[in-house]
Amino acid sequence: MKTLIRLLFSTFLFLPLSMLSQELTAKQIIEKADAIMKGTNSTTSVMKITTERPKWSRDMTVKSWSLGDDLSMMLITDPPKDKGAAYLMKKKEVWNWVPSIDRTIKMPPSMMMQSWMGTDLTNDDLVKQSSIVTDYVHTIIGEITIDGRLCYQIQLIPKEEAAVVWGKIIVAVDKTDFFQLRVEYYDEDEDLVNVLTASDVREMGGRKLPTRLEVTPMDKKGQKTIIQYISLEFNTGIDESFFSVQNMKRLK
Amino acid sequence: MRKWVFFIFFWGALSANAQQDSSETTSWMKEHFELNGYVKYLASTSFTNGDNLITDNLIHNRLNFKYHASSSITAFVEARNRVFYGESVKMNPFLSTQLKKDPGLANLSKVWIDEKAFVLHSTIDRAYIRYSKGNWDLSLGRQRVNWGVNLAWNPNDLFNAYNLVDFDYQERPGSDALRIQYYKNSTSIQVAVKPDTSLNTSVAGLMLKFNKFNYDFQVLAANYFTDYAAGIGWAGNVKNAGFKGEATYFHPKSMVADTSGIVSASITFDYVFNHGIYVNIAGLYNSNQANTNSLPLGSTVFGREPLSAKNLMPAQFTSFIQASGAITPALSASVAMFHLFERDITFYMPSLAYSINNSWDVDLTGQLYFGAIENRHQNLGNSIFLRLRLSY
Repeated sequence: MKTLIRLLFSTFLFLPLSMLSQELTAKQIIEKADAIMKGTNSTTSVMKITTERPKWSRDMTVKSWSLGDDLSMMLITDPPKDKGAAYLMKKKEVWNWVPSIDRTIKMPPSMMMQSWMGTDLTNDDLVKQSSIVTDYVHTIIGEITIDGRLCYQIQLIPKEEAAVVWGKIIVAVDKTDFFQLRVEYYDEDEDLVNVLTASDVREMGGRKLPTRLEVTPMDKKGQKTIIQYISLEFNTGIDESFFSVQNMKRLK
Repeated sequence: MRKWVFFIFFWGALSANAQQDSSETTSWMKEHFELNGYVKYLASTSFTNGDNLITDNLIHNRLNFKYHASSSITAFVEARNRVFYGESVKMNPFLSTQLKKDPGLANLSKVWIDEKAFVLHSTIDRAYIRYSKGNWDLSLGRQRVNWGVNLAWNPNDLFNAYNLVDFDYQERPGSDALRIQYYKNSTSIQVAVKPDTSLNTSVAGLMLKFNKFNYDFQVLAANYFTDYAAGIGWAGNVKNAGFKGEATYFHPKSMVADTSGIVSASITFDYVFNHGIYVNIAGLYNSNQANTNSLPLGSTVFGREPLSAKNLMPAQFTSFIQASGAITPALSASVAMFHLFERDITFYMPSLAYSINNSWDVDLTGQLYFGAIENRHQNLGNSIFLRLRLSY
């Protein structure tokens, strides 16, 4: 999710690029998109996460806070059964606060690759440290129009030494606003695994941005996860001390 | 006694009203009050063979209230109301006497109806105030002080040791205690006191927690009833597997110089395989041989004797393995097995859980015991539980 949030954020702040008189290289496009996120300090968001399955669907409301790359925290506010459960992510460590038993559980690393709360997002998505800038080699491979917006199509191939799970990523970056409107994730055999789409561009937290994200796993028919932002706030002024085991219990 | 019941229903009614209208009061209520809980119906059948079936029914309602008095003060009141009816209620004339007993300083337990085969009981198992400011957390009142790390056994959990077998009450009874915690970065120190009339009937402990090498560590020292206790615990990982453990040494105060102490220690590995299959493997060692044959195994969730951090299982060595996973997004399955080595008793707890929607859940749990009687390995008893739960 953090990656998703970052993907989304990477498109924020970006000023209308009228000052750009020359053609950007593939790397510059990705860099510009990504750099903006890195510059953002703290964010607070409320989102509705919908898990869709062929005969079943479930909603969950999550409040989340993040600071830089290494710190984030999430609080489940709905459904009532899970309400009050919180997750703290600090670099690669993850803790889960379970209010009914008054305990903080440290999660094993192998849990990171698995589905987070039954969604199509893995725990690793929540804390992933790989960078779309430094871990990949970028090439512009074409243009594509998505929702009436003209986009660069950029191919990302992981560098040999990079510890990433994907064999290839193809990103469609909006030419004007630099929104990443479609991201295709391929495995090492070049099979398409997941598709992330961003849509519903709206003003939120004082910025124009896509507020709806959809993750669709290709090998599972009728299955997807939708993230709809309900609110977003930037530069809220929370500091490092907010992201503590102690504070998980105090979240509201 | 009536007063608190009135209090609960009064606030319950207020909260219910709050959801209906949309005045300023409502937003004030929403800002300051939280109410949630569940209603569960648990039907159970116990049998050793087909001819002797004992059925039981339990309706169980839990109410959790939270009042945010200010940004730093929060009050918690949680109550459980239970209706027991069925054959084992009839067979246990002491049920209401057992239920009436409140182990805390104040008696917040009440049996409303005490018929031969029907008992209605209410208890408040949380009633405390928490003050949180800066690096400090202070809580006073009936609360859960959970010092455990592992899933299966918690030798560090001096205040509220719990038993996985008792799956219908994971909240556990609260302790009437004072707890002061001070946090600095990822280090914390806490003092918890569960006072009583004398030190020998009280628990008072000090715990230091810190994070080093991506491990959470904890060290404790305590007055544990008639013992001094010292313990350590950790949670970290070996490669991709979780690696956790806890150990506590109990030494009788009356025999400070000798070697009559008892060690209770538990170690856990857990791992999540592809497709989300979670496996937890644990071992428990208890050096207290004298007690290993005297403790009852407790074959039902009704009227069980509470266990303690010092005596988590009636055996010296016990192993535990649990595997769980989702069959479909809504249906999950789990199997747990305990094996008590010297007593050669094996306990299986399979379960299936189905999530009907965001509010309704249903699960089916079995508890099966096998052991040797007169050198013959045989089934010692079984229980089946069907549970329906509405969360709100």
